[in-house]
Amino acid sequence: MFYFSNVIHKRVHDTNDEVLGILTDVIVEANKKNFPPVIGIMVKDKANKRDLFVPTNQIDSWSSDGIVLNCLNSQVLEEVPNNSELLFLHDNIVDKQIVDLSGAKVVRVNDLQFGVVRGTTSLLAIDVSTSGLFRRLGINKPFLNIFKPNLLEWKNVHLIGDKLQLAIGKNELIKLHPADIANIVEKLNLKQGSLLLKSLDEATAAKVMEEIQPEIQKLLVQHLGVERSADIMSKMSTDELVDLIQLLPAREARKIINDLPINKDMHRVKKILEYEEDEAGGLMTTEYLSVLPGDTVKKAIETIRTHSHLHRSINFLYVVSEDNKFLGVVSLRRLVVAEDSEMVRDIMKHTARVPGIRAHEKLSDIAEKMTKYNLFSVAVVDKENIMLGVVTIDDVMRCLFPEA
Amino acid sequence: MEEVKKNNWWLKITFFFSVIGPGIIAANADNDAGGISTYSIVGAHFGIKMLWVLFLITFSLAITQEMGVRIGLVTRQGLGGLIREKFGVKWTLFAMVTMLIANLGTITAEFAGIASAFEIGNISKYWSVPIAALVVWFILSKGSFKTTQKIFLIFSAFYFVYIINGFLVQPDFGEATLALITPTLEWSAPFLLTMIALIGTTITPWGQFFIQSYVVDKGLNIKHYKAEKVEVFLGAFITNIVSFFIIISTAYTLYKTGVHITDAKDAALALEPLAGHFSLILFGFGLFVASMLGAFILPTATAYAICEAFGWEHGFNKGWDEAKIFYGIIFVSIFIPAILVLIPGLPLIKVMLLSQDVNGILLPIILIFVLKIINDKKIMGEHINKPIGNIIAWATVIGIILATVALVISSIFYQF
Repeated sequence: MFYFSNVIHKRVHDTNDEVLGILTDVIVEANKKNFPPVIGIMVKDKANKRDLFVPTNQIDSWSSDGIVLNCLNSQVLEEVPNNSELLFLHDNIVDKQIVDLSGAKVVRVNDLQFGVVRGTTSLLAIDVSTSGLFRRLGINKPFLNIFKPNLLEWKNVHLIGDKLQLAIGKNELIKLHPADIANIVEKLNLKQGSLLLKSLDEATAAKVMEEIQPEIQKLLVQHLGVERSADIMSKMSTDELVDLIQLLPAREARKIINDLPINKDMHRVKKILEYEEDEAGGLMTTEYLSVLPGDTVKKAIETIRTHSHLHRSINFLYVVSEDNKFLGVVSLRRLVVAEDSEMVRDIMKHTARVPGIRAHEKLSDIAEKMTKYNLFSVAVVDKENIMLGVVTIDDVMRCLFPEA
Repeated sequence: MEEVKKNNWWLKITFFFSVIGPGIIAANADNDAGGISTYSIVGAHFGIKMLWVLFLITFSLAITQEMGVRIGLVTRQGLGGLIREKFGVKWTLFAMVTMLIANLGTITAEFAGIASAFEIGNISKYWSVPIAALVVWFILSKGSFKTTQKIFLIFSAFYFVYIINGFLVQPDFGEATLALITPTLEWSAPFLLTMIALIGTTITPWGQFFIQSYVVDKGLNIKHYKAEKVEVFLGAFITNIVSFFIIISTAYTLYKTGVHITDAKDAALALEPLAGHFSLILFGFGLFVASMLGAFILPTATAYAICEAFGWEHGFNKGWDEAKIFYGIIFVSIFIPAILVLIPGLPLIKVMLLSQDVNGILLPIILIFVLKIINDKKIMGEHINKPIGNIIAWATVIGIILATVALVISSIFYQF
């Protein structure tokens, strides 16, 4: 076992103890294996001003005293193999930031650990600890043992180099909670962040995007470009999508709206865009469940079963007339305790007890009404009492505490 | 969406302050304890002889700050992290130690400023400095310093009294303007020492780190570049206008009457034409506020840069358990300087001046890192430096190095 810091910039000798040059990089095959095998090293031959590639099978031993080849210098003549799977560790990994998937955070690579796995010298682990930092500086004193080693396995990291678009760690990455991925994206610089987003499938990217801070959302959208953004945004929930579109400059917003697929209910999106951000109309989501007063309880529960996956949370079913006028609500509790055959109109609460709010009412009025009537969500109606959407408690909270 | 909103003007002002900001803030924070004492000494001991240096470094300040902004906008990363990625661990350690020494010096100057301000009111430094250090530590460790920072920033507009004062001392503006463009040099250690301090307090190593992370934190990107460039140039211009008037104010009062500045009271005399008997209070207040602003910003900037470079958890949104080293650096960089200032009989004014010399002497190192990064196509793409930027920045670097060499040689022949 040896570390990257042991061998980098060390001399490379051949079997006659002649110096070939200085080791400048170690190359691994960056496939999905747990321990990527070392393919070879880059050697700088200063005397002849050339960079040489030495494949692993010509290397006899690795140590901090230098690298010894099992052949003569004259036998080294390899060009760098042309293979996109190759990863130059010095250029692309060491000192760069990577994502530690086990801790869901961005860390800096201090050192690398190598060892023999099934007869092949391979990259064992990535050292992100402070003791790795001291090793790089050539300081190796016993008192430094107070710093615990922190070795990450290859399968537990996600690379974020600007030019690399490797699938490594992607499967593990999408296992994280979208909010954790969002935190990681926020930590990265814009290029790396958008690369990471691009590496995710659209549905996951959309969920992650929803969790990112508005300021950074805006930058990412601009960086990703209209087309790619629209792809991701089309998978976002309508109210998150509207929030995001409202952040963008008018011209860009229009471009993205035009690029969104038709199946997204653009009518609804445009409707919400007519309102200010702190008005009921701007805060509301148009995704809610509605039933008719003449429906049975059985049918109402069936509606929840078939549509619940589309909604973040369901507190009420909204009772509307045939022409979509807001009549009242049925709480989930009422539904559960009612008989299957009962009619919605018999168990609903009427608007007198659960009033709706007008689309132009301000945040403070909404909050007041929700507090007064103990509502987790409230219906938004226009002046003809036509139901437009609902404002939920999390929309209100997000508006009150944007930083959270 | 296009309808005119009632609160439009308010939005516009908010926008102005959200984008137009870093350059002016960084420039304003430049006029800290080290700044005010150095400019006062420049005027009081050497009259208007050094105005030409101030004129030249206005361009250097504008250019170097603009480079910091550009790197921040393009890479969206702090200077510490970039140095690490481009130069590796050893050079990073070198850069960070350089910055740490310069910053500890400046923080020492801030506490010396606080001590001097209170000594005007006959309050001992053994009270004022520990209390100030504890207040700074308490607010920073709670992580709620943004409001505090703004309050001190508003107060630091105090410097504008120097502009009014500058007119009241009835300077010879013709003579002063001529001095701006007439290079005058004395080959003496005090002159060179003061001159390097003048450069080092105007363009600072921490200023480079600060403006870059500020741009990154604000979530600005390259689209804001033009607005930012204007703002940075404006900031450099405004801050040096103020410096100009501080020098004028002391040059036409203290220099004329031959007063040597040995403590804050002497420097305060320069404000007498404007404030009369209140000059002491006015100067004391200004010095205190400026020092406190620096005492908040510098430990934070130091900890951010070091943690970013070495990959340690950082930021005020992290708790103590997560970011021990971050808070540790803040703690050390508040209390070591504060304790230094408490050494009995320490000449506070000299400390403030010498700390700026340390900044000036170390500045070329940081500037060279910045220049290497900004001329790297792999990092900056199409936004690498234009020749004019490189020429001015390299001229600054070489100018400081030559001045430092001259200082070393001349101090061999000079008895302090």
